[in-house]
Amino acid sequence: MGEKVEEATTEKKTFGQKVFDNVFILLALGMAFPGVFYLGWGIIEIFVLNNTKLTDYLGAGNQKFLLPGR
Amino acid sequence: MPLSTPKNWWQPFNKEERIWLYISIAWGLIMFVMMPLGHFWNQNVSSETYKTDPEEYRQIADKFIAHYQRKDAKGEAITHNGKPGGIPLVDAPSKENGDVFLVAQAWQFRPVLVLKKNKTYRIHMSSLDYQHGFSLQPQNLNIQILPYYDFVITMSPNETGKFFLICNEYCMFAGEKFGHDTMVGQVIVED
Amino acid sequence: MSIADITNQFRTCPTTGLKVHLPAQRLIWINAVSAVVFLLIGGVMALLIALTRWPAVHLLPQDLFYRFITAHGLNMLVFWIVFFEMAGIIFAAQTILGARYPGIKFGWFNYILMITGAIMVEVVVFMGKADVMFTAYPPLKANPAFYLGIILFAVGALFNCFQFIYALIIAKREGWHKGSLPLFTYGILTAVIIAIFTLVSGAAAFIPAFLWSIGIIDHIDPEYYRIAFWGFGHSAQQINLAAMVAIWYLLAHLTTGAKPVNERMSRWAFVLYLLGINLGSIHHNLVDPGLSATYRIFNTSYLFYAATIGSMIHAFSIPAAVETAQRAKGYTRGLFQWLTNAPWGQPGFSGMALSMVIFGFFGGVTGIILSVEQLNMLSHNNLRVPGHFHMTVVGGTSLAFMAVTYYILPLVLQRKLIGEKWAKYQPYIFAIGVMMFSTGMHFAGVMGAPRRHWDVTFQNAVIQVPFDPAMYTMLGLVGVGAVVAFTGLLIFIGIAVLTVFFGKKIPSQMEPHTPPHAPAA
Repeated sequence: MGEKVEEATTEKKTFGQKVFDNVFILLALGMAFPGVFYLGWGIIEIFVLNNTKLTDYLGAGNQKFLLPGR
Repeated sequence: MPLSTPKNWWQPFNKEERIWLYISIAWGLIMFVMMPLGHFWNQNVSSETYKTDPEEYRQIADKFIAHYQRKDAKGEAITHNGKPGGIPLVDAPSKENGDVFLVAQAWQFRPVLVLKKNKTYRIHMSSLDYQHGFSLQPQNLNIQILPYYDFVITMSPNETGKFFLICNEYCMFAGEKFGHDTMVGQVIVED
Repeated sequence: MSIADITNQFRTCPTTGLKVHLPAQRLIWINAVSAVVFLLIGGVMALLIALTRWPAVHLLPQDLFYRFITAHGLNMLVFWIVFFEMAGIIFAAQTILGARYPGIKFGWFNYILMITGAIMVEVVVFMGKADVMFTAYPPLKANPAFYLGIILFAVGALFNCFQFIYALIIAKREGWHKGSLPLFTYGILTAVIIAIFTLVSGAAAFIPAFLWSIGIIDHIDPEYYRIAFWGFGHSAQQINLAAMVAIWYLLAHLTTGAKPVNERMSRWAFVLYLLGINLGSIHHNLVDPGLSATYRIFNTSYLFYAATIGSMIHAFSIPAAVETAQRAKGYTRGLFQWLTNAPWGQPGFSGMALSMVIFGFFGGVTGIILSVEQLNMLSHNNLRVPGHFHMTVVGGTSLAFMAVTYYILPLVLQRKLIGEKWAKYQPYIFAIGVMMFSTGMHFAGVMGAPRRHWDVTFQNAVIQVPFDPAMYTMLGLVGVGAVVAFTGLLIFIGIAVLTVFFGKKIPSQMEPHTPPHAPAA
């Protein structure tokens, strides 16, 4: 075999190639997308639930839970 | 080559590559669109959830069971096996009349719900200790039951018979004899 | 260390001409050998578990069954695969680029963190203080050493990932390598970026769990843990996917001389993975309380199926590359002569091809199906799930890793293969076994069999649960398939261990190597 490193040509790299070749841009995107959409959004969803409690069902005189639910 | 450094590799796609890409993208979009569409066509996972804690849930469930328990002529509770220590049967109210509370705990599901065919029920599910799996057989309907979360599933049975609940989330109890694999429950549907 | 010292640490591979940095080779050696040790432990556990799930045999008692599932999950999903990947990333950054590997001492420090963590976990699990499954869902609580061991392991792996990125920077800065990364290393870079997210999410799960286990915090929200854990647990499988695909390109090249047909398309596919694939982890929570349908649909679709399109691209590119290379060699008769005359006798090729078929057609497809909300209700926590993931992780990733090992042994570890005739058949035996037991699991699950369950006959339960009798036949298939797969596994381990320790050493010239593109002094 004998792999040889091909010399880069003097042609200008396309913008797409520059972005895709940049390790830091890839790292940032790879952290941001799942960080925001999966972890961030998900954790917010379950913490927003905090405000509703089942004790609302008991109400005065312990009758509320027998009535039609919400 | 995958081992050598390419020069300027941002080259246009040829005909076969473009065809394959268009097919793949189209298929991806079709599959994606089917997901929200399926939400309107099919039976879906519930999103109705309330925060609770095991003690509070247990109290509500016990009140529920005491109120709707099926009793025999002598006023004794009817259980799944007819004996006093068994899991009580409960005639569940349909959604116009009230909510239903199912308790998962190490290691049983209680009560035994007695439902009526074609009526709709709001069934609350929570756990008193570990995470449990609600697995209705033979329908193979599976829901995750967590402590501290009250999950409300709206369900309507469309056939009569005796159905079984098995726990399919590992719920070991440290230091005790493991009972995850004997954890069962029952749902009965009558006309 | 002076430049002159580094210059003299290189040898030139007689087969490929690649420059191997000797201190890095030793790091590759220790990580790869450790990987195979954990593979063996995990494999023995697998056989015992499968023979227990086969109701006619029902080998293990209840407590050992659950303990060994915990051990099996950790040994395979975490220790075997990650140690192997650590070896792979050093190879990708050092050998493929012909660069020095910076921070050798740091690499050894990371290895010590990882092996310490692994041993801690192994000991605490086998002592019975952590019968909590690989997932360790609170409120199940394990001994603190369990969480601490995993954290140590993950920190070591994370540091190795940073070191990989640093190695790429150094290779460019010091002039060892110029221009774009070769596709194989690019794929591994994608895997490393996915890995960094994986380990960060794992920290978000395991650090609170550890603090809870020692009593510093008194409550851990079970759904929070499930989201954070699967951001680690499933994303770890996506690392495996990206690494496996990179290895497919490598093996296609090594066995048939194939070159990527379109670098831009293949790189786009890796970037689509990087953007979308970690979102899909939410498919573990599709029937969980507390999450909205919008969140579930958006994430479980892998970002509008972007990541799936990436897989479709690779599924096109790699066979296209092989076909192009084969046709160039003269196999142009009819539609498929290029395929029938492919080197099926070479374990590198057969392993790659079988891995692509099992992962792509069976594993990946069942995964996409299980990731739909409505279908997930029919499959959550039953045996369909292990059916799916054994096809992907075992029939896909592990088989590809085994196939590439047959090249790593002579090329990087400088040992002539012992048992080449056995190596020819090993991928086939293993693949058949994996398909048998995975298929058995899949259909048993369709009929309702729960996963992680010692006794589906429910003989000790208060209510008798009747299952379709065919389900028991399927569980029998699981047992038989596991025996076949274990045979294939033992052959691989036998070849690997004998070769590493007793294989004839392949001599290699030490040749001084300086950065070919060093900036002018």
